[in-house]
Amino acid sequence: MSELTALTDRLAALAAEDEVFVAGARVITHDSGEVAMAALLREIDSTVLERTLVFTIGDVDVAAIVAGRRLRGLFDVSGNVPGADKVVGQVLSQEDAPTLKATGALLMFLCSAANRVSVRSKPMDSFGTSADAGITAAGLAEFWDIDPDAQPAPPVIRFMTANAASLMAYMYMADNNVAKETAGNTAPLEAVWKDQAAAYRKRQKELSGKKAGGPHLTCLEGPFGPGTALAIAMAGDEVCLCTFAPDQMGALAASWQAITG
Amino acid sequence: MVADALDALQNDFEGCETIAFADLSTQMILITNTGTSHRRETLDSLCAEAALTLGTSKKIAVGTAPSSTAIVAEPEQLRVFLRADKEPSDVLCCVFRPGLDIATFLPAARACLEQISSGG
Repeated sequence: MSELTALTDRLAALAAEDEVFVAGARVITHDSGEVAMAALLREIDSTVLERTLVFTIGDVDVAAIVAGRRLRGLFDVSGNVPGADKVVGQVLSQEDAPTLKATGALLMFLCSAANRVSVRSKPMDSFGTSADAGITAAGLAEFWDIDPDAQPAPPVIRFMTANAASLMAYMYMADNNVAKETAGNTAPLEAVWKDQAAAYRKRQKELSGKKAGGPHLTCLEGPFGPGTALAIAMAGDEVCLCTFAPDQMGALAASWQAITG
Repeated sequence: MVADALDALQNDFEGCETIAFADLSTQMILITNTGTSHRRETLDSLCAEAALTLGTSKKIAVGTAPSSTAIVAEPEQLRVFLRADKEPSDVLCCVFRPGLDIATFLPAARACLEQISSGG
């Protein structure tokens, strides 16, 4: 990293009030699929000067040439991503639909498997000619059939969706603790919710201090006897109580941190 | 001896900030790894959270039985609590930065706890 790039990253970090940086790169989403694609498009739409935006999608770096709120093309894709060789170095234009389509497919392929996308802005690499205007973010959204306003589902819902195969029973509450959705044998969960959850949440908030109210997951092994496991996921006014196989505890905790981290 | 076991466990797992051995009957941290940077008040809260999540002989906060393992996951921190098999008041309290390989850590931590708890 050059001194200028390091300084740029540092200034961006200092100027940001509520943004998250990982290894100098600004995290633009913790989501995958269309929501991650929409986040990419928003970055393109926000970039007026000529820049190389290095998107880290999962563990793959994609260097995109962006200027005038347009994507000119992909300068580099790290690793051996299938299809990358067909689009790297190719200038994007409305007249070259196959390349445009392949670029969208490549990005969607990467976004589908990612649980975090970050971006680093660098001076623009040499790419094409000044006559190569590229495609606007709005144009890309239309061509790739992406909703540019796609928003992520609430974290508790995303947690339940991501771990649906591991959940044996669940209760999902939102909007003033009203049960919105249930599945499986919820009798033990209903008892916890009715008699214990409020006191547990209160005590947990006391112990959390300054961090109280943030996303929080508790996983317990054995709360109903050997071979049982319970999780309580909380974020804002959403709560999910669920039972699962004890050997899934680590996976559930890792999933929660990936979603809320 | 106990500190050596805690230090060894901590050194094996990147992102481990604190590993503490505690007694839930008195709700006191008895010893921590030597490199912990957490202050006494933080350690007291950690022990209180172990009692809350795992449950004690006097009070079970969640469920109908004391839990053997608890994981508390927050965006910037992961806390793991384990209860010894034969001495239910003996617990291990662990604090990590995100990214821990939990599946690998749990058996290693449980072996460490049982060794300390049995006086081995």
